[in-house]
Amino acid sequence: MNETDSTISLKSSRFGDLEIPQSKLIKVPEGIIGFPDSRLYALLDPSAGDSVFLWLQAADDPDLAFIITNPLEFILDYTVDKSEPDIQRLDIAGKPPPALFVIITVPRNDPDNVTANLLAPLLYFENENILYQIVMEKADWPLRHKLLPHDDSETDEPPDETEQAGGDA
Amino acid sequence: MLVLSRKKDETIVIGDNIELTVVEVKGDTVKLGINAPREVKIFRGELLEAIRAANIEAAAQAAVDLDALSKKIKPKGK
Repeated sequence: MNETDSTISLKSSRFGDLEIPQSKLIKVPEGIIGFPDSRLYALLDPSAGDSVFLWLQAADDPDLAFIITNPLEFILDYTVDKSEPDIQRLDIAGKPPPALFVIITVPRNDPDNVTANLLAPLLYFENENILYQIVMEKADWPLRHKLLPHDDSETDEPPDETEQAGGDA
Repeated sequence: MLVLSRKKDETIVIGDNIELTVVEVKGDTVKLGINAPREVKIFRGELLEAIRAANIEAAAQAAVDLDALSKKIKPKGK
């Protein structure tokens, strides 16, 4: 066993106390936008590979976690254009291409209205265990892309109530 | 907040290596040119604010059952 790969204890308000190997911790040097103080995360897969969704759990804040997924599971033509200024900033030329994730929002009061943030994806450089959230200002990907189309659903659209318009006496 | 008046083609220098130039003023729109080292993040304020709000909403979710969610949302090509 590799003695240098010690574990750190990580508290999660959703998953309890966890032991994470140091090598599995992900550095987020710039933080996630809106959460600049948390710079270290762990990738959790409570479903052990059954789900396309993972959790990105902050190491220093038990309450802070994001549901993330590989956008290419849902949006086959999703691309991250390297000409985006926010990517050029990272100087990734010559590095292996990063894994892509996007943050998922499951609204508390409307859990079927699941959306994915395609405007600001996560680039995960697996070799270095470093992750960045970048903003794609040039492309036209939405901030809230619906993952569940309201096609055959009975949700919020009431059935057509044809008003019996009739001049009642 | 520091407030400076500038005319077209005039500049403001911030620190050692950030320079803003007023490129055009037309009605209530000001076009700014920005010269900065590429490691400096530059965004439209309202765009960054929208992403921040979305991230905060995403972080507020409770322990969602990801298996159920995964089954409900069938990925394309599966």
